[in-house]
Amino acid sequence: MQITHQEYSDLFKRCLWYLFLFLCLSLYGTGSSAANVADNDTIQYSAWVVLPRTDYPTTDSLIHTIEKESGVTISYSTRVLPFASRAIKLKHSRWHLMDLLNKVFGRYKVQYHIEPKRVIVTPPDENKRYTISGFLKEEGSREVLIGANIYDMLLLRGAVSNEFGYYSLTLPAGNVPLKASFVGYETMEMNVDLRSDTILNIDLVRKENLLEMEIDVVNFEPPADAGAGVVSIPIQQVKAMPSLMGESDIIRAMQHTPGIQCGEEGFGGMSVRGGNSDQNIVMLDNVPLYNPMHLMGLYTAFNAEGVNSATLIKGGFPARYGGRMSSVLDIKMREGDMQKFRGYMNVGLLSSNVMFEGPIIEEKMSFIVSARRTYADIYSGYIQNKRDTRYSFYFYDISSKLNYIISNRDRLYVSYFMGSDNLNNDYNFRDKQIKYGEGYYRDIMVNDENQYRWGSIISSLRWNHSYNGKLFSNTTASFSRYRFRNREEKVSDVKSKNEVSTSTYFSGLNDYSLKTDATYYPSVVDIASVRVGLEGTLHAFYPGYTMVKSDMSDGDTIKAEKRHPLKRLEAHGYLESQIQLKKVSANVGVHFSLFNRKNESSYLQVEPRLLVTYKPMNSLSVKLGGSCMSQFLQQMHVATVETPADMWLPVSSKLPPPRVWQASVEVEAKLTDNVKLTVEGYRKNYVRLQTYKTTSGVDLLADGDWENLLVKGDGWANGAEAMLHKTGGTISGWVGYSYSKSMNRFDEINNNKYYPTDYDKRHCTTIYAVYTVKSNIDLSALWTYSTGAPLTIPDGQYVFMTDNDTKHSGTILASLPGERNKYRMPNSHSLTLGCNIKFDKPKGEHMLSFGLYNVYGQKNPMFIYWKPLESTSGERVAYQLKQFSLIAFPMPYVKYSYKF
Amino acid sequence: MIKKIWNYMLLLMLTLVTGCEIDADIDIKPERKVILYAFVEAGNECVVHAYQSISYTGAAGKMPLGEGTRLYLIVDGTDMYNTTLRGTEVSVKFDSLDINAGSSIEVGIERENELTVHAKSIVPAEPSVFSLGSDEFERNGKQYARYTIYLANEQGEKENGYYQLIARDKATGEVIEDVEYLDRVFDESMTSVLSTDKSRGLFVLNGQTTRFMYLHCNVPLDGLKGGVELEMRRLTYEYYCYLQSVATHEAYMLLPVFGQNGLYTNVVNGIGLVTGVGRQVIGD
Repeated sequence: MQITHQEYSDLFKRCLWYLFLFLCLSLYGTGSSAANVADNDTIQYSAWVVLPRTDYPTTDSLIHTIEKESGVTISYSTRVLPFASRAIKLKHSRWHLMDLLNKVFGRYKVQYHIEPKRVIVTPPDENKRYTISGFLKEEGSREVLIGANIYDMLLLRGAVSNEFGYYSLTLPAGNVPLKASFVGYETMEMNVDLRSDTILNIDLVRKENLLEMEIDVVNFEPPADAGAGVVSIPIQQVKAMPSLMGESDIIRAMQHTPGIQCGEEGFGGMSVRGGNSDQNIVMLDNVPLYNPMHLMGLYTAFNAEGVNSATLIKGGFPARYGGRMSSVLDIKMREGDMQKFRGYMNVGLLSSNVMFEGPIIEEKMSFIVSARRTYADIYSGYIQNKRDTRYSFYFYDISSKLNYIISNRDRLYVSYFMGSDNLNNDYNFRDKQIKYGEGYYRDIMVNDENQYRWGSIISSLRWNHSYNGKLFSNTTASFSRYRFRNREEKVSDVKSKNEVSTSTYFSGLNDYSLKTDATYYPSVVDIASVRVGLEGTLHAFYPGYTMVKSDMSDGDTIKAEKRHPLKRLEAHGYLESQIQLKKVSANVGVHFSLFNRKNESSYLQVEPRLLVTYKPMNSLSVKLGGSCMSQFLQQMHVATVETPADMWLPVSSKLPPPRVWQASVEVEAKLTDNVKLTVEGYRKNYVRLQTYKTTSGVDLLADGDWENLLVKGDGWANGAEAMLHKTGGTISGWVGYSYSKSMNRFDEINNNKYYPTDYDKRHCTTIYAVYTVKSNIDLSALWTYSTGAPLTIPDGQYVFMTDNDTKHSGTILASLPGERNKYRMPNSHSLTLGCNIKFDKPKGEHMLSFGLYNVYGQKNPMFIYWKPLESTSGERVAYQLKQFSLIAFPMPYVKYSYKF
Repeated sequence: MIKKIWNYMLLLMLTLVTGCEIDADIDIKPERKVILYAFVEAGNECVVHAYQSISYTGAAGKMPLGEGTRLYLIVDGTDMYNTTLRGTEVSVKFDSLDINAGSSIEVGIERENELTVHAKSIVPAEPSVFSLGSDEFERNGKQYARYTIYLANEQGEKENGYYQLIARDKATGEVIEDVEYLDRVFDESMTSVLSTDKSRGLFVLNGQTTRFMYLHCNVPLDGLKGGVELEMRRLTYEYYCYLQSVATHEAYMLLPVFGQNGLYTNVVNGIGLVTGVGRQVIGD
């Protein structure tokens, strides 16, 4: 057998390493016994060490000083530290021993193993790398922590827990000083002797602050794979914010950050960077929720008590997200306490909430159930129970989740959500005859009842599996439904027999979906993760059907059957990689989507995504994002504002899928440890947008040919957002400002010229401040200002005709279809004050929240309209332009909550 | 005690959760637009209505376009009829026209230094109602009428057909508005629509179906001066859209949040409707 020169060389090097390791081990053994003889006390590596703040001529001299001051023995050889003779300077005199060791040895990229009295320095062995993986959880409840950081303090290499609290980190073998941190939790440090692939589940302790606004300043910046322009407000903070009627509301809280707008007083859905509300996808545990609001946009449909985290992405979308053009709101529900039964309840002016959670099998299976219901119907029932006409309104939502840890590698989740709004009108005529016209009466109407119900249901089954610490998968089977239903029942007395006529109208859609995602955490240093995913969804659309049943007095029954739904198949796939270099990280990916249309060709969309983060220094980062998004569904409005009757409809041959390209830049600077300034800019270009030719909407029920009433167009939006955010301290909060301009152009509208979109509020400002009086008392103030929203209002009227000779001709006036969004509403502003007081006794945690909404009674416009003025004889003589304000007076709120 | 607390809370809620109406501070610049209407029938005279819109704060009525306004009608692209409006004239009658079913029409208005206001349509044939059943029934001592109508699709017609069924007082010609419709389409999708909206009676026939409709007149016969007369209209697509938008406009005109504008129009550079229509009176 011949041995080449190269092989000789390798063999020689290997022998030297073995010799070196032998020496190290010998030293280690000697040192250990010496230490044991000298002193049985162990060294506190977290303790402070005070060193002279001076220039050390060699690293050796510094190491000797450390040994002298701390009592620790540091074993190394000049082979390991070839530059030990290099000078080193300390800027501070007071150090944590661990930080000091990191500083000294980190610069040489060597490993060190910590023993009770000794530190052994060894050469790095990049060839032997092992994976640490596991879940980051809250101590006690074992609730997973999403987006928590874990990193190697020496190599400054780390990972962020995913949406299931899972992390995976591949590092060189040896002693790894790890640090785990998360907003609102105590930071935890630990050493792991990494000699094989290791499963490490870490429990972090929640800080006992009233508000979770403090964040730890860490040396490691997690890879920015979540997107640019990410809004994530801790749930505890959402619950503490002052709000209308004291209702804790995630989406309303987010609307107080730059770039997110809503209609007046919260009505009319959410707009992100100028997009329509149907361009936002709201996902509850990865399942799309089609109606995320109650009361036409005034409140969010899910109960904050059951939510673990909520993240809204405005730009730089990772490839895993798709299906909508403007934003992704990713809500993760809590999983339930694994150790102890807990509960929460609150009573407010508008609604009451309850939440219960606890273990079914300790440390193996848990549940959580939360529910909320309003009681406006009880108020209205109280005042209307003696009247012939009754109105009532209420909404409720229920969410529940079952979490089962099958093994260290497998988890199963079953979740269910239901939210519903109910509006009832009941006209009880009590045997009165209804006068019709002159001289005669209609039948004797006994009762006329109208019920409106709308809401969503979501259910899902999810399975997480970790294959080998480096590969994590999540598979979800889900069902999502939205329904709007109007049931009208008329009961007439005909010849002493009741004639019952029932008409039920409904619209909505059902989604049946199967989705699987896999994340691979490779050992390659520069690639943090690679994600792939596939999803298939069968949509069943019900674009407005009526079912009629009449039981006639003569015994006949007229009955009608419902129509079959419109079925479409939508598929998504993506490939995404997170690349992590020294100062630059990138999230690169591509998203594919396919929409299958019955008997027609399919639409295929290819959407590239890129997010690059440059971090020249710890306190500064710059993100550049580029993304393309499209969508196959759109919501057709039946009015100028969003209503529950709006329908989700698919693209068709006449309506190809709209698409948007977005480029964004974000600069984030940490001005101090707890003050951060974020400035963002963006540009969006839309193609193939659609809208109705008229602004009064379309009666889709009656018009099967609604596609012909749509026109095509394009649009663009650009803007700048700035936010100064202070966390921690006696006074915390933020100041946010956004400038945005969004314009659309459609065929046959406004002479084909660009005009402002409905959400084009140019300037918006929010100031939110919290003053922590004591650890259990805080005062907060929220002031918002926005310039007026665009307004379409008729600026003339005319006599309209329906035929040559009907009585319509010549008398009745119609409004001129005014130029779209030609005018603007007056500017809006309001101030809300709140106070939260927490009591820890007796038994559990009590909190009293109270405040005042719209403190100075600003009359903000909700809508503008022409009001007819009538003469004393009842004739219309003129019109006057009026403004309606929904909440024109200061409105107090009070809420009491109890947690055990 | 509890009742008093509820009373207090209720009073508080009602006091505070009350909307407020104030004068809006928005500078509205009234716009003048040309209004043009024409409902053209095969073999009949044609009346073209032309006038201006008015402001919300001014007097109601049809405001004339004024002297020098030229009004024209083109049939099948070649035959042209034209006239000039005089003084306060807001409508012009064209008779002796040679308009047949299937003819194309264009109506326009020309004014000096302004864009031409014009619209095009076609004139449909009479609808084909092939069966009518009727009966009277008594309620509370009064006689009412109800009808069953079968509507056939034109043989070989593949495009949608648009129809409207209305009931009139035979003596006065006034449309009876308090009627109910039950509409059933015998096709594979099997759907039914019950409509009580006064401006409806609008139906779409999808090219392969036969349609059954049921009209129930809620006005007693003795409330009418001359009995019931039914009229089936074959509409153009633009007429159908227009009538739909009228129904929506009337339904929502009291709800400002639903918008106060938006009647469909096919008039270029103006407002209104130029359309053909085919009518068949289908008995009493």
